[in-house]
Amino acid sequence: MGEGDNRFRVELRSLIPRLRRFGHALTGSADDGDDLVQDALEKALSREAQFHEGTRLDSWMYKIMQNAWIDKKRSSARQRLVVQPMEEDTFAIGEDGRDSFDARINLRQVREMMERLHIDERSVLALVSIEGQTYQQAADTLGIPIGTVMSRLARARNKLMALLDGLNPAPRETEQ
Amino acid sequence: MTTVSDEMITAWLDGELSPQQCEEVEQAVAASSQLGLRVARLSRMDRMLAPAYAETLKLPIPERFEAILFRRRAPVWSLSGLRSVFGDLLEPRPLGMATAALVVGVVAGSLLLGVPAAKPGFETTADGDLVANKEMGMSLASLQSGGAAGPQTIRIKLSMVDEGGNYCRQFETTGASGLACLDNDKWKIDTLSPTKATIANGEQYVMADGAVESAIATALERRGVKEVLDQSHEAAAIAAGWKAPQY
Repeated sequence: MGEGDNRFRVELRSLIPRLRRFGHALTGSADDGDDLVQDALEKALSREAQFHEGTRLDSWMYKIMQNAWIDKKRSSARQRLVVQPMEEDTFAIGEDGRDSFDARINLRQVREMMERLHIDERSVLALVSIEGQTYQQAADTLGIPIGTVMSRLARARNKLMALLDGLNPAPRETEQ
Repeated sequence: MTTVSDEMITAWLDGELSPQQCEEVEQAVAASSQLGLRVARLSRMDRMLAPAYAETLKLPIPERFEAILFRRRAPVWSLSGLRSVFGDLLEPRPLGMATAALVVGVVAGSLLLGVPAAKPGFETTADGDLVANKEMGMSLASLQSGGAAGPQTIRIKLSMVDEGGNYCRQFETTGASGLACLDNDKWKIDTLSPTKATIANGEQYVMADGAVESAIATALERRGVKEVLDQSHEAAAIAAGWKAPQY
C-alpha cells in the first residue's frame, strides 16, 4: 500500500488507452467499451490484493473485462441479437483470386463485422491481432489452452473474411 | 502437395510456429497459388484490425476514470481520502505533543517545526516566507518522483496540483521532510518538519516519522489536492518548467 498503492493506480492509468481499445473491440461500441473499462477499474481497485507482482497487469485487466462482458451478455437478451449463429461451411474462404480486399473494405466495416463474431472469437482476435499478445499470453488471459487459442483465431479470421467478402462481393477473376 | 490446416496458417501469420513448421507452410504456399492468395488476403485483413480501433488510443482519458483512480471528485480531500490513496505514507500514528504544535502551525498557515531559518537548502524572503534556495529550487524543479541523479540530497515523493492550481511537491531531504508549492516562480515551503532521515544520492536511509507524514497530510488537506501527477504528467510539467497547469 502507500507508494505501492499509488503506483498501482498510476500503472492502471497508463493502461487505459489500451483497455479502451480492447473494450471497444470486445463490445463493438466505444461507449459500452468505456463502461466496461470503468467497471474493470473499480473491480481492479477492490481486488488489488489479488494481483500478484510479476504477472502482467494488462492481461489481468483484459481478463476482468472479458469476464465482465460475458456476465453482462449472459444476462442480456441482446446476446441473441448481436451474435448471429452462422453455418460453419459459410466461413470457408473464397478462393476466387480476389486481391483487392483492403481496397474494398473500410475500417468501419471491419468494426461492424467484428461485432458479428462470437464473443470467444472476438476476444482472442482482439488480444492477438489488436493488442499484440502472444498465443501463450492470450491463453493465460482467457484461461484456455493454447490449442484453443489457435483454433478460435483461425475460425475468427475465416468468419471475418467471409463476412467482409459478403459486404462487398468482388468480381470473379480468372484463376491462374 | 503439402496440406496445412487453418490453425497452422493463422499461427504462421502470427509468427508462432517453429522453423520447421514455418517451412511446411511456406512450401505449401509456394505450391498453391490459391493458398497463396488466401494467405495474402487473411494477412491484409488482419492488418486492418488494429487500425480499425487505433483512434481510441488517441482519445483523452475521461475524467470519470481519473476520478475512480485518484478520487478527484472531492473538491478538497479528506484526510481519510488522502490516506486511501497515499496509504502508509500518511499512516496515522501516535503523535503526542508534536501533533498539537503541528496543528497550531497549520492553522497559522505555513508550518515550521524547529527548522532553523539558515538551514542549508532554504532561505527566507523579505516577507518572512521560507523558500527553497537556488540549488534546492533547481532540484525541486528538475527531479522526478522516486529518484534523483548525482549527489542529490533531496528526494521527491509525490507531485500534485492543489485546489488553487499550484504545483506542489512533497520532498524529503537530509534532516527534514516537507511540502513545497510553486508561488511566483519560487518554491515556497508550505510545511517543513525535522526528521531523522538521511538522503544521499536520492536514497532515503532512515524513514521519516509519523508526525511528519501527518503534518504533510494535514497540509495537503488544507490546500486541497486537485490532481496527483502520474509519471508522464510530472515529466511534462518538468519539461514545461512548471508553468501553470490548464484547468
